[in-house]
Amino acid sequence: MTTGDMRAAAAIDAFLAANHLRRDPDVTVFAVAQAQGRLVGCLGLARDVVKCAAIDEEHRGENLLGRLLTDIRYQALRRGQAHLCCYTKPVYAEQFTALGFHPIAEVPNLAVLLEDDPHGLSDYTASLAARRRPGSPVGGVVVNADPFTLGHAHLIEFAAQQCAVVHVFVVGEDVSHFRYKDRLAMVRAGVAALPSASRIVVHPGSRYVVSRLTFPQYFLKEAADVSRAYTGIDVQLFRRHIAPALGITDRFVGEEPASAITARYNAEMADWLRRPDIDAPPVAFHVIDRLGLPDVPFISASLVRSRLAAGDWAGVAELTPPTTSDYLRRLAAKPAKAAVSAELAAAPPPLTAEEAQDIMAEVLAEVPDASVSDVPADLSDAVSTAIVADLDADVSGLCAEEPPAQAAPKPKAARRGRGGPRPQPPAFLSQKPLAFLSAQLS
Amino acid sequence: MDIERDAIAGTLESSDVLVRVSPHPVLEVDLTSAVEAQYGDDIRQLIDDTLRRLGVQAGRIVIEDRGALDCTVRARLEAAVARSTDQPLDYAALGEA
Repeated sequence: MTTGDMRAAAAIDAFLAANHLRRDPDVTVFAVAQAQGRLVGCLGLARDVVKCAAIDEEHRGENLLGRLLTDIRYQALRRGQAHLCCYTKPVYAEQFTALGFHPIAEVPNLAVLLEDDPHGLSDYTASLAARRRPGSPVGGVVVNADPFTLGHAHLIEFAAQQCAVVHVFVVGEDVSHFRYKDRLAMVRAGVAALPSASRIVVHPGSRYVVSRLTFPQYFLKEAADVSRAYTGIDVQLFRRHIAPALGITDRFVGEEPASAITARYNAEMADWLRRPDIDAPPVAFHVIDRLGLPDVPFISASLVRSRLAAGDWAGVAELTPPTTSDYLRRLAAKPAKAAVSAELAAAPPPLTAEEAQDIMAEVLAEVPDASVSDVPADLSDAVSTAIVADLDADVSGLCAEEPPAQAAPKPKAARRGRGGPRPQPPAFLSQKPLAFLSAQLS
Repeated sequence: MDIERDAIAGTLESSDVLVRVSPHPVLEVDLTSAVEAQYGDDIRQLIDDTLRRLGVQAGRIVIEDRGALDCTVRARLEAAVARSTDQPLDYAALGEA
């Protein structure tokens, strides 16, 4: 992280802290609003997720959120994200529904998930329904498969023994050690080799099968709240939308002996699957014992990864089906492509509020006047907005002495398509292009 | 003319409109407007006319109107469609009022 990054991030961290929020480390783009050199609003983007929204109390009711969201939309589209979703406190849901978002799952008083595509969820359930298979009971299994092990194979095959059909969902985000594309390929190959393969349907990931790894935490204080919010959102989407589309009656999960957090997750999931106050049929919940080996109490993907890191290929083969170990060998043979996204997890953590506050004043003193340069003098106290992109890269933005060459006077400069400036494609997930766009709104 | 890729035009400022277009097998228009009660039907008619002039027969059009004037709605819609395709717009046809 360069000095420029740290300062941009620190200013935002301090502002979020003042609003009782935190910066989630996976946010790579921020739209910020400034008035008289002071940060008065921010909105973050992590992949397709809009979060870390805060507006200074004195500037509420000025549609600042709408301006920031417009900036974020253009930035998101440049990054290939045309459809956004948003996690926030239920009390703020209305602010986002006024800007074109629609709530799709809520845990009262804790968290709400909204999406901006009025047909997103219904399109998804329609696509699932097209893959519905006859028979009963119907099982559902969600795996991250990072990578696919004999334990996953055991869980899925066990479910298939109990059910006419089993639907397997692979968590779809590129935040695990292995890329989504590789995890999905390993699940598909592994499932195809199972005795019950003909009765198992593998579904690609979607934003409606939420990853615990990427669940936003910026507005949640306690780890217990995060767990409750995540479970409530994820399991409601499963029970109210995914299960009815496919006729899923039973959900199977692996026992989680290693972690109190995941044990609590399972208990909360059982509750959400059967509680009567949800307008969808209950789903039976089954916790399946983990598969063990004589020298391994239970098989886990993390054990596979540590053996892989140690180059213990015999050990890897002991824990994974041949489909996975073959796939891993092929990945290892082309190291550039096999790049695991562990660097992402190593993204710099947010500074503490004290650290952030310490350098905030300094940072704001250095904010280039570029962001107000084409505002008539008599309007110079108007709020301006700007994009701070790719916080963990070499952002020259907030402390640049001169505006970068690509700084553009109007938000329309963020237009996409022919002729528009395009960000450089990153070679690796962790190498972000340098970008600071002044996005002056008239 | 087809919507070949996702595109947006406009803003969420007062008196403007944000238009999002996406590829879709059939034509679907979603309108939310601050002045829905007063002008909803007129805006819908304007959108339909503009799409017809542009020759857009399929695609998903999501429009968040903040009370934009007709010329603004038309310009934003044309811009979003133009950004969604590599085909040149037929401005002569657009000129027909």
